[in-house]
Amino acid sequence: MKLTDFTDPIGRVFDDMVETAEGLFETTVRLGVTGLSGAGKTVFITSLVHNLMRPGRLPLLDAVADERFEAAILRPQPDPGVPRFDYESHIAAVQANAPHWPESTRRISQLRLSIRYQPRSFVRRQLYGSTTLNLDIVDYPGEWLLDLPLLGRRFADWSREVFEMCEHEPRRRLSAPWREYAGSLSPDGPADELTVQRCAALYTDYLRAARADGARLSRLQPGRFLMPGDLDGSPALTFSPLPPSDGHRHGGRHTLWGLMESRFEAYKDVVVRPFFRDHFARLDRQVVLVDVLRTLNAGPASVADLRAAMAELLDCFRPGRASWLWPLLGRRIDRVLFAATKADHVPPGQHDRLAELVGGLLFDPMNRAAFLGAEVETMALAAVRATREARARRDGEALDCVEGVPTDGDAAVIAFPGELPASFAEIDPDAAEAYNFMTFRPPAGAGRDGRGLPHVRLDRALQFLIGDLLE
Amino acid sequence: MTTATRPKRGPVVFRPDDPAVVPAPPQPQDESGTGAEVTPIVAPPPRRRGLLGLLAAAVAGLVVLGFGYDTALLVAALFDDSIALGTIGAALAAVVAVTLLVLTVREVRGFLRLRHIDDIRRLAERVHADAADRAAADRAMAELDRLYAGRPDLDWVRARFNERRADAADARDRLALFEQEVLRPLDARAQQAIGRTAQATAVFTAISPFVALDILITSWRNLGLLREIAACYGGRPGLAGSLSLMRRVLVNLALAGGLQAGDSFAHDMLGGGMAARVSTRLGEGVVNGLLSVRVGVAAMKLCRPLPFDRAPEPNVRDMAAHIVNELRKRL
Repeated sequence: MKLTDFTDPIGRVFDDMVETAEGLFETTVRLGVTGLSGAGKTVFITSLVHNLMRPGRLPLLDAVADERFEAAILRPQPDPGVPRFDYESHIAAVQANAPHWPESTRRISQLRLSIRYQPRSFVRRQLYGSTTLNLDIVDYPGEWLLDLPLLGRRFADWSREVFEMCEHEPRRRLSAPWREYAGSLSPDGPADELTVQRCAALYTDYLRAARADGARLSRLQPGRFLMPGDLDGSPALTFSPLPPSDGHRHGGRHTLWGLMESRFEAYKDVVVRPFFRDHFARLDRQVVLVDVLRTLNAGPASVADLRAAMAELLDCFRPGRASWLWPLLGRRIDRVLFAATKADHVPPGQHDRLAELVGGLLFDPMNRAAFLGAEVETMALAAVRATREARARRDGEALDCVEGVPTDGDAAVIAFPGELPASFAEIDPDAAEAYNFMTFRPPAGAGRDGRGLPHVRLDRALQFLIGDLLE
Repeated sequence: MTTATRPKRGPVVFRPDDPAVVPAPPQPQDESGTGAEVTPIVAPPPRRRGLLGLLAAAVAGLVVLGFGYDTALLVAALFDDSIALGTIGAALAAVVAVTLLVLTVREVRGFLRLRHIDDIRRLAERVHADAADRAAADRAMAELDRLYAGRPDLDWVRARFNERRADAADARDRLALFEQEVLRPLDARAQQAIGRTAQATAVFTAISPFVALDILITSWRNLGLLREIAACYGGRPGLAGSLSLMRRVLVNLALAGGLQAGDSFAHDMLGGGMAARVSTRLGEGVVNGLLSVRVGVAAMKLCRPLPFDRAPEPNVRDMAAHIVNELRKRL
């Protein structure tokens, strides 16, 4: 037990109280956009901001439908120590003459969107006139998210887990060089910096290979190894799991095991805990973005890995009903949306199935959140709609297709991606034959009509996430 | 791994100029000039009336036959008397026959239009259950377009909807968007009509000298309200259609227990002591006004081509409270 284990919750409660005081005048809601690397967090946030600032494409958001929505602007975020979310350059990328997706996120950033609206209730309208809702959102590299489960692990447990995972393909193959090297080391021997560095480098190589398109695995810890940010090369990022060996005691700070263990602990203290404390412990609403399609492309092993990673990850959050005691108990996430992103890559008729797939994949975390009193919902959405509906025939059979410009081409194609399975139990082992979910570029001229970026169900998602706060 | 129960349809990619590609997603025609007459999707189910029906039909046949025969005799006699009289008689008879025919056709069409709206609602419910049901979705959308094609008052909202229909994520959202853009203004209009009628009924009942008179007037007003609501949503029923609609409304109300609830509700609204203190007449007025509200709301549900999904269902309590307040002010 560390001192911070006790002080953190106290600090959190204090922060909450300060915000309560502020909240007497304006409501602030912290929206947690959760998703692994490549799930589409940055695009989601960008499109959300763009659409709320130009609410012409949000007919299913009640405040907009009732014409109570007045305006939304970006305002300086409350946290001066965190870079601002680079909304302008992200939107520029999507709206460029040769539109492309924003580059993958390398560091943490934050933004505050202030929404001015008329309350629905007559009394509140008379009392306050129009009201402001502040929406605080944090963007961060998805790789870092999987560090959160490490907070509850000890080095020995984690090492054992990693080695157990590596007994199955495709990890077995990918991790062979690192395991071989790590196996040749003696945990009780003296620690040598160069050995440690080499071991960490091999481990990082393995993580990179496992993330690459062929395998597309999700459960890759520690995340900073893949996206180091400004900590590259620091001791806290130079360690690796060691083969578990029973019987002997890994005493002594100067043994290899001791060094690795202390660095693991340092990683948790220096990197993970602040990240969690500053950005995740005080969320009000959460949207969990999952890129089911790309995982399906990679096959059942990838899907199973995603399921395990998400279950482990979502265990770290505290869903539940928000109670009036929350200044004492801390905040609770009272609404969680589980969303399959990139829904525009499949024809609209398959959207329901996509949402069901996410529901099946995340059944346990969803069930847990619901049990704890949070409202949960699943949805298939696309923050930016890159395709249009199209129809084609094959062998006399009508196929509902999507039409768009693939990322690796210049001309539009019309694609039938295959049929989504009804559940994950039905995934074909040779999935490569059954599906081909292409990736598409952002649509040309998106949002030039003065309305928000085209999207799929972003308004429904917003209605679920913040609709009740705009009442 | 489970064995595949049916052959999966594998992925395929087409070039846009591939002949296999169906030119454009079938967009329902949105211009009013299609010239197509509204046809019912489903024929009205045959009515079974048994012997009584046979009797009624036979009697009606006899009456028609009698009238026709008499008229024919009359015209023939007139011709015997003078050509001029005969011509006038024949012309009048022809006018009667043609008018009757036109009226009948109009009634039947009004009836069919109401059924048509029922069918659209059923299709929409199917789409709501399964957004992948493309046949139902396309047809519901096309029928909705056709239903409102001849309505200049809706041109603007429909244009707005057409501009945005491509934004909808799937068929379900497209219907939701239609409801939002096109039906919401109609809902507001229907609710205004309800409010107006309810107030008028209430006031009239409160001041009318005879009970029989206000029963008559209330029924008449409610029937008018029904027709107004139906017309607002595109139903335009004739007299027979309105009566059948009224029957369905009353059945719905009876099933929901709405008819009896009026009394206790008026009591709530006026406050316990208030209801006792004000004259019985005023109390009756409120009860009759509430009945109009209930009838109107039930009619909205029956005449609306889409079920209430996106827009909130009109709340009887809120509307009633508003009306009672108005009444208090006036009396």
